[in-house]
Amino acid sequence: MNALEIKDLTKKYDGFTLDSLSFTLPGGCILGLVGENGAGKSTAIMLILDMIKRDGGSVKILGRDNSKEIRLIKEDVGTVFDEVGIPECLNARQIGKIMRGTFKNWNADAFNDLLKRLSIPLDKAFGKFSRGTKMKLGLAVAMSHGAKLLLLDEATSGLDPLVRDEVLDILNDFTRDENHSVLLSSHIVSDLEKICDYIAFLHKGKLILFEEKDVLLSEYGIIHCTEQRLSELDQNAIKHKKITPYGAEAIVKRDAVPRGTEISPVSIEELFVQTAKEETV
Amino acid sequence: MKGLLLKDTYVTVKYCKNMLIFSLIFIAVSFIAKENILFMLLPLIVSGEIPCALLGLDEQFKWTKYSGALPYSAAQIVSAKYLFGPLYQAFTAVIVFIALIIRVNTIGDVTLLSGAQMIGGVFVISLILPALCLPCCFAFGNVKGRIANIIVMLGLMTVIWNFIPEGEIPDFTAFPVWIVFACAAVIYALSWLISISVYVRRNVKD
Repeated sequence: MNALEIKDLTKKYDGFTLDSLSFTLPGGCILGLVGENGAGKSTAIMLILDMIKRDGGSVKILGRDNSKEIRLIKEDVGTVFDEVGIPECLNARQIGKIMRGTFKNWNADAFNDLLKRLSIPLDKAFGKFSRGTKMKLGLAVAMSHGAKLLLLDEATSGLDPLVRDEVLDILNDFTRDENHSVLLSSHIVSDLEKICDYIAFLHKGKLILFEEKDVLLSEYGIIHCTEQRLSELDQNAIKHKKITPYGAEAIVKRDAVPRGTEISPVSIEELFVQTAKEETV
Repeated sequence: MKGLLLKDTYVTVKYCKNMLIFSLIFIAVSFIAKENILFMLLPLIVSGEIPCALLGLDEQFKWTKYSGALPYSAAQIVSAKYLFGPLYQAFTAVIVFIALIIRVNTIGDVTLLSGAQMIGGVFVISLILPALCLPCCFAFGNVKGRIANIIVMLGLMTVIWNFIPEGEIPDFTAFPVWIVFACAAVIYALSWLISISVYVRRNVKD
């Protein structure tokens, strides 16, 4: 079953439109939603949760229409926002009690295990935690009520590399169960490149690319050559080129350049930046 | 909903404990200034402020957004504030009533019945205050909502002073207690319904 099916999702604000967003997240997969600040990632997540009113389109979460059964659906969805949203005076023990009164399937043992595993103190106030620990506590809550889908909105931004890596490990573990899926929005593309199965590029409210990460990486590559050599290539094969006094660099479609051409792997970040630039032009 | 009420209890204990301390100070002052029973009743009026104060803290901590991702309906999120308010007010009323019993038996400047009637009257006022404030705060957020609330209050007062002839303003103190309570309950219930309606329409952004 698909974890998420989004069709023509549209939301209009003054000066910004999330325009006909469509994609599908298969069960057991991690989807990275990449986009610059203000691209519409948070808007998309809030629309998925039916927290804001859409102007068009449809959203199915775990096969159910989000406009009809959202309360039931939220029992199966764990969410972590960039600012977690827990009152600063509460400690983990109190948060556990609040969530026991919130989720039907709240699993106190799983929550306590996660707190131990993530080294989160039980009696320290949330406001005194570092940003990384706050985020880990948000994740612990999201993963302690039998959620089948995690929605993480910029959950890794502002974290130091060690904590980011720890968070990514937790997500990897979570998706070992093929019924578990994750939608992770971030503008730190390197995080998404590490763990995502699918990548969606969102730019100025438009989905400019949606593809399996491995397909993207196998489809495109970078060549370094002279300007003369670059001009001899099929120009349709070139996605982006940069010419400097020292030579030329181009992102190319691997299957459209002559065999024997030396092609280096391209990163998702380079692909995103160039695709976004193309769209802007 | 249990989770929402528990959250509000924890937050109140932590952030509103000063309010409780001030309430006890007011009561103590009312015993020192023997002829002024008003100080004893002030904590009840102040307790009407709690639901709007909690809503402000929710916004500050981004709980407003987070709660939208939890399995609560908009009606439950709103209702938690409408239920918690009277519970806290009832708790304050019990403290004030205990102070009244002590006053009756020490200073003796008021009877238990007349004191209880005063507590009842002020309890009604403490219900009306959030009933006016909460719909504005749910519609516009806490800061804009409180400004809107002041405008609504000023508007109401302007209407009362300018359009209702002197002498025709009903004397509510002359009404039977149950009618006053029933009117307050109806206003509170209407406010509750309006808040649910505006909160459902509001796009929570932060």
